[in-house]
Amino acid sequence: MKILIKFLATIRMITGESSIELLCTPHDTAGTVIQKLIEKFGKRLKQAIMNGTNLKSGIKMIINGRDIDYLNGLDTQLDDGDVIVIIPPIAGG
Amino acid sequence: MVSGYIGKILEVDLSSGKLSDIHLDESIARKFLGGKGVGLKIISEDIKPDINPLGPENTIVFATGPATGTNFPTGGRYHVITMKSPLTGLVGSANSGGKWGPYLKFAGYDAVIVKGASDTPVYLKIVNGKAQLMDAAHLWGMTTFSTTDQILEEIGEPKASVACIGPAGEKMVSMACIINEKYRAAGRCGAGAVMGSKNLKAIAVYGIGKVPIARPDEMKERVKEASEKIKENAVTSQGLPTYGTAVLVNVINEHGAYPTRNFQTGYFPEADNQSGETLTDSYLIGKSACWGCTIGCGRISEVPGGPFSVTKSEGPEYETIFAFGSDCGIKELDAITKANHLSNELGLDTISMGSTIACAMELVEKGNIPESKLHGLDLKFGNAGAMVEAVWKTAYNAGIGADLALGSKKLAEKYGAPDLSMTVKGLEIPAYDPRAIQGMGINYATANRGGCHVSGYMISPEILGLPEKLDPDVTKDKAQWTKTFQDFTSVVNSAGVCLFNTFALGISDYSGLLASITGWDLDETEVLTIGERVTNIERLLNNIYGVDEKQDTLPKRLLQEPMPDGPAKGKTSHLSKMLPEYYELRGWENGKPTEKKLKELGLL
Repeated sequence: MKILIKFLATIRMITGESSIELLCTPHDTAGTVIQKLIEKFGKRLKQAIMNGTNLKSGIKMIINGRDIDYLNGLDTQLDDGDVIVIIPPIAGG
Repeated sequence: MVSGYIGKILEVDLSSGKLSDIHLDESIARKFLGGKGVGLKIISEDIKPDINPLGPENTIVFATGPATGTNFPTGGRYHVITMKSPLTGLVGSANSGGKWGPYLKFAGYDAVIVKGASDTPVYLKIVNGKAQLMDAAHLWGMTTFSTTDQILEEIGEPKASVACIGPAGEKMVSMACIINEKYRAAGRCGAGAVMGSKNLKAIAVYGIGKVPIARPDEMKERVKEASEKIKENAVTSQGLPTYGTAVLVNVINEHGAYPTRNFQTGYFPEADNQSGETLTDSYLIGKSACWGCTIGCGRISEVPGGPFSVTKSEGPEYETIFAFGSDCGIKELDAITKANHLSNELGLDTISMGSTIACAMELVEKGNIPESKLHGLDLKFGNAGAMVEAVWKTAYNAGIGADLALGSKKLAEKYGAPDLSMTVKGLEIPAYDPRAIQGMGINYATANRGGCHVSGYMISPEILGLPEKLDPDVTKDKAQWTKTFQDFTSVVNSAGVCLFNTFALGISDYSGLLASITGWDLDETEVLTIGERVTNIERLLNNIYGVDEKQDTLPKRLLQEPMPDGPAKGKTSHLSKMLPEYYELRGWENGKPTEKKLKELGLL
């Protein structure tokens, strides 16, 4: 199945791409997608978004508009066509 | 006078040409702090329910706070209060950065009160304690840019600061704003039209005075501590300086809360074309910061060629991008930047302007505005050229622009479809659809000046996770959070600093800094009580104009029409679940502070 992943702000500076499509299996979760992304984009991405096995404080991961904190965290299961967005600490107004 | 203040207010009666100095009473300063609070207190002295907002009986107050012009991080702000807004018919409130606020204090005044109306165009010059009314006939008709350049040249102080109106203010367009430093706006509620009605083109300020500090050594330590927090905070040290406020475009869109085509939906597929990332990559030529700011969210931009070419501009900010962009169904950042630039030159509030154009586009789409009214202007969603043309037509009351100049509420009423106006209390709602962010709904509905995002910026906890994450779909506890945010923001706007420092600083930082500036024994409770007092006096004054709980609501679309698509598909605002708790926490009945609450806050 295909998942669309979008990168915003400073995360986009690291990946060099605004979005990618990732082929996943029904067993993939938000956490395994993160691992695949780190394999693809390397240590800089890991340093930017991870603190051990958790997302760094201030890093947000949303799936179809919902923060994974209100789903099942990094264990959230994925479905075909899901849209994941990774957001660094930002603000505005 | 107590430290932190100059101790003097300038009162200008434009009808007689008389200028008087008034002493700022310390007890008023301690109760209302400054800025917004003192502005509201001043107009409360002679407010009447039936005044004409564009008549000489209206009063406009420009007020700084005790932190304005000090080293309190971001201490460069001033507040504008009009006794009655021509856009909403309620108390008008607006806030601006740049350097005008500090320079007013350096020139020798905490605030300026303007009453009456001049028979001929004038501007007010305040340089090193000397205030004079000057002829402005030669400036009438000029844009804010030309006005600023001309006044700086003729007063011989090139470093002075000029707050002025453009043609939109002169024409008394209801959403006309006041512009200082060419790109900083006291934007909302039509204060520019009030200046225009008084024939007051500008106020130029300059001085070399200093703001007295009660405990300078302690202040130095506290500033150091606060600056460290701003430097260590990822939002204030990286997010805002790198991308500016426009970084929110993609974030809000991905939550399904990015108002599109007059709030018909909350997802705009082309949002990335107008995002902070795109602005940074393709339009940014520099960055700017207001006086005393270490964050520096300002963007210096250009559109290098094409029909919307702009050689040098500032912005556009996030709210402006939504208003001229997604809300009008327009994806091109070139056109949005041009419309923003024109709004600054002509002196128009970008949120109300863009939202009113979006309302007109839907009125055209639904057949309410007949073609005969448009004089060939193809005012359809997505037509970038028509949107830009609508901006200058509004400023000059030209053709359909005369109707747009009414603001979206009166426009939609005029054309028989009041529900198509996306306003609260007559003020256009900014760039967050409350169907996807519940707390933002209760803030919009209860904010005193009307549809306002910064009165209680619930985006901070609900989307940005600051100071802690709250689920945007949930209504529980949102009333309490909104009340606290609204009162804290009243403190920020009365202190004379920028709301953006609150991403890194909390109420204890404020009480400590304000105590070291003034020498008062301020604690967190007293500071928050000042905020609550300011929120309540504003409400009390609006009650005089007839506001009660009936006005504390949202447009029907946001309460009844489920979001049709995008990440927030199917959602509506659950305002009614939050309002009773909000009133209980406030001590309000029927949208009005009770006698008990007023006594508790020393307002009765």
